[in-house]
Amino acid sequence: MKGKCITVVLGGVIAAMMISILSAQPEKITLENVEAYKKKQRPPVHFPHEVHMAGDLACTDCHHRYENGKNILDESELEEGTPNIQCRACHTTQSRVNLRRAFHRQCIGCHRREKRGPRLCGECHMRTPPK
Amino acid sequence: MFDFIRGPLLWVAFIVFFGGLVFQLLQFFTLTRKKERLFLSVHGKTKGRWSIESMRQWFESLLTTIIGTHPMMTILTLIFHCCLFVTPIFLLAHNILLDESWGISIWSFSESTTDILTVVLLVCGALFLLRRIFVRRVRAITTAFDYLILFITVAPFLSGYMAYHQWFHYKAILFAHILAGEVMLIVAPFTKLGHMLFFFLYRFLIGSEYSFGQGTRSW
Repeated sequence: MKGKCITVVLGGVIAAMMISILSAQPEKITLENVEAYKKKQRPPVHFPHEVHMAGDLACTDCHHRYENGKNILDESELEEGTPNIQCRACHTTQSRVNLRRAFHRQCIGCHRREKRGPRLCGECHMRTPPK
Repeated sequence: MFDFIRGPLLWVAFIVFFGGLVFQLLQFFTLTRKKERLFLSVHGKTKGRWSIESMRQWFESLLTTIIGTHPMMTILTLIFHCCLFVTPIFLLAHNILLDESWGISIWSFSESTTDILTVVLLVCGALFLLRRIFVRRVRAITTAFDYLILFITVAPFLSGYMAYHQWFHYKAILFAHILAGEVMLIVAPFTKLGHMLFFFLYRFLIGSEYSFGQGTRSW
């Protein structure tokens, strides 16, 4: 009986944590990075975060912090507004894999591998933002 | 479809383009083995090659060419050809594609600059078209093929401009843009567009083709 109670309580706590994490995720993110790019060459990307979360992707399939070739990012860090989890926190305009390359390789690379999702410039950098 | 026109077809286009240019180059040197003595030169020979007098004579001789007879057309053509080469090579989007594919890229203009260069090229192209239609002496020697060649040259830029501004159906326009570029590359070495190579070969190496240089080769 005692064991059952602990299981239920633990399950509830984990579920609450998951809900709090998931509910903290925005549906759409506008990737504008005005701090990094003084002069924009293309319109910002309106990234449908919820579409990616609804699929079979794990958070750490995209979000990463590599150490010795291993992604050590803790998913609990992934909350909206946390500056450290922004791509530009590591991928600056000066880094080898700079911010532009990071986005392009991450997004187009995955879309190419999965054979779905946009791969053309204007499919992400839309002049008319999607509704 | 996208994978095919961006992948194998692009390779075919580049191989035909560069292979065609090399073929034409080799054929040119094979057909012009004969040498001839240069009897006439438009350059002043009385003074040193780089003297002011010599330069003045050279400049005056240029005025007897199309530069002097049709200066506006000369300027227009010069601008058109500059835009034709500079725009696609230093286009940011093309260099990003190169970077994503091979990890190499060169310096690029801003997108707004290439946008202006494209408009300039399109205006020049439109004036060439009007010239072919309305100038009687040009119309007299114009065939349907000339219009086709002008269209093949301008099409990648027109479709590129439309794709950049995301007019109409973006994906269809971008496919048309890539295809138009590939068609231009494939036909360039084997049509009138081959003057990108032949201009330099004929005008600098063939003695009897109003050589700018000291060309002594002959057909």
